[in-house]
Amino acid sequence: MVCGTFKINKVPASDVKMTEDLFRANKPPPNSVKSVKDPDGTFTVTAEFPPCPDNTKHSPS
Amino acid sequence: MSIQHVSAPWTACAFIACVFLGGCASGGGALDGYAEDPEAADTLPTLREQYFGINSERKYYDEKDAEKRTSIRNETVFNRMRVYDMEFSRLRRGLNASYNVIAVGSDLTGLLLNTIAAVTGSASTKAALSAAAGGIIGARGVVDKDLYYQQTLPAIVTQMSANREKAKAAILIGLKEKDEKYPLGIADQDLARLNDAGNLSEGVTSVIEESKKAKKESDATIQGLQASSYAATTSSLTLRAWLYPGGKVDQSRLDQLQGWLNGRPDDSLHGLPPAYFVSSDEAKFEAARQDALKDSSLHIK
Repeated sequence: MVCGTFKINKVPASDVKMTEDLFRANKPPPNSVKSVKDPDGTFTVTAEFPPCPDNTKHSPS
Repeated sequence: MSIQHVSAPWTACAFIACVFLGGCASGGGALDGYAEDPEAADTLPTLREQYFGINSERKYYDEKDAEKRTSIRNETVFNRMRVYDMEFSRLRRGLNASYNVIAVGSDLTGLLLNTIAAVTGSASTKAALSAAAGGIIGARGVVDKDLYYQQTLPAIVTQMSANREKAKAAILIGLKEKDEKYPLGIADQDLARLNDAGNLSEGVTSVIEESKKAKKESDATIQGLQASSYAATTSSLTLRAWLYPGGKVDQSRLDQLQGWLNGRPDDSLHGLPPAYFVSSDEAKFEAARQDALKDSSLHIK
C-alpha cells in the first residue's frame, strides 16, 4: 500500500488540476492533496498518504 | 604591604575548599541562583517525621468513617507531595550551585590567586598561591571533560520537571475520587512514581527516550518523502494525455498503469502513485515510462 508524501514542484499552472486529479484518483486515495504557488509562478503539488511504517519507504502494495 | 597577611598556604587551600563546596559566607543563595527558601530547612524534617514511616498511616487505617478517611488521605498525600517538591527543589538548587561554582568560580578564583601570588613578597606564599591557582585551573580542565553533561543538565532538569508534573497530575486526578476508589495504597504507588520522576537517572533516561522518539519521527518523515520536479518529456506528456483524456481521469487506465507498476521487477515502482510516476523527472522513472509506452498490454497511443 502506498505511503508517505509525494511532492512535485515546478508544475505549470495549466497542469495543476490534472496533477491533483490524478493523485486523488489513486487507489487508495491520499489523505490530502495540496497545491502551493511558488515565487516563480509554478506550483508545488503535495499528496499525503498515510505515514510509512518503520524501516520502509513507499511500501509495496 | 597589607597583602602580606595572606601568608599561610592553608589560607589559600581553605579558600579553594570554600569555593568548591559552594558554602562561602553568604554566597550559597547567590551561587545556586535561587532565592532563599524560608520554609525548607525547618519544615522538611517535621513533615518527614509526620507523614512518612510505619506509624504515619495508622490514623488513616484506624479511621472507619469514609469522609474522614478521605480527608486524612488527602492530607497525607498532599504533605508527601510537598516533601517531594522540597526535595526536588533542593536537588535543583544543588545541581545549579555546583555547576555555577565550577564554571564561573574557578575562572575568577584562579585569576585572583595568581594575582595575589604575583604581588606578594614571600617566596613560600607565592609558591602556595600559585599551586592553589594551578589546582583550580586544573580542576576546571577535568570539569571541561564533562562539557556534554554541563550543557545537557538544564535539559535533563527540565525533563525531570515535566515527568514530575505528569506524575502529579495523576495524583490530583485520583484525589478527586473518594477514598474507596483511590485509597492511600494506590496513591502511594503514584507518589512513588512522583519521587522517581525527580531523580537524575530518570531524567537522563527520559531525555534519551524523547530524543529517540524525535529521531524516529524525523526518520519516518525523511523516509516517507519523495520529491522531484515536474517532467516535460515526451513520455510523461504522452502518459498524462492517456490518463487524462478530455480533462478527466480515465480511472481504468490509471488502475491499469498501477497494476503495471506493481508488476515491474524494480520494487521501488511498486505502490508508486501513477500521478507521481508520470510527472516526476527522476531518471529511473523516465526509463520506466519508455518501457510503459512500448508495452503493448497497456495500449498507449
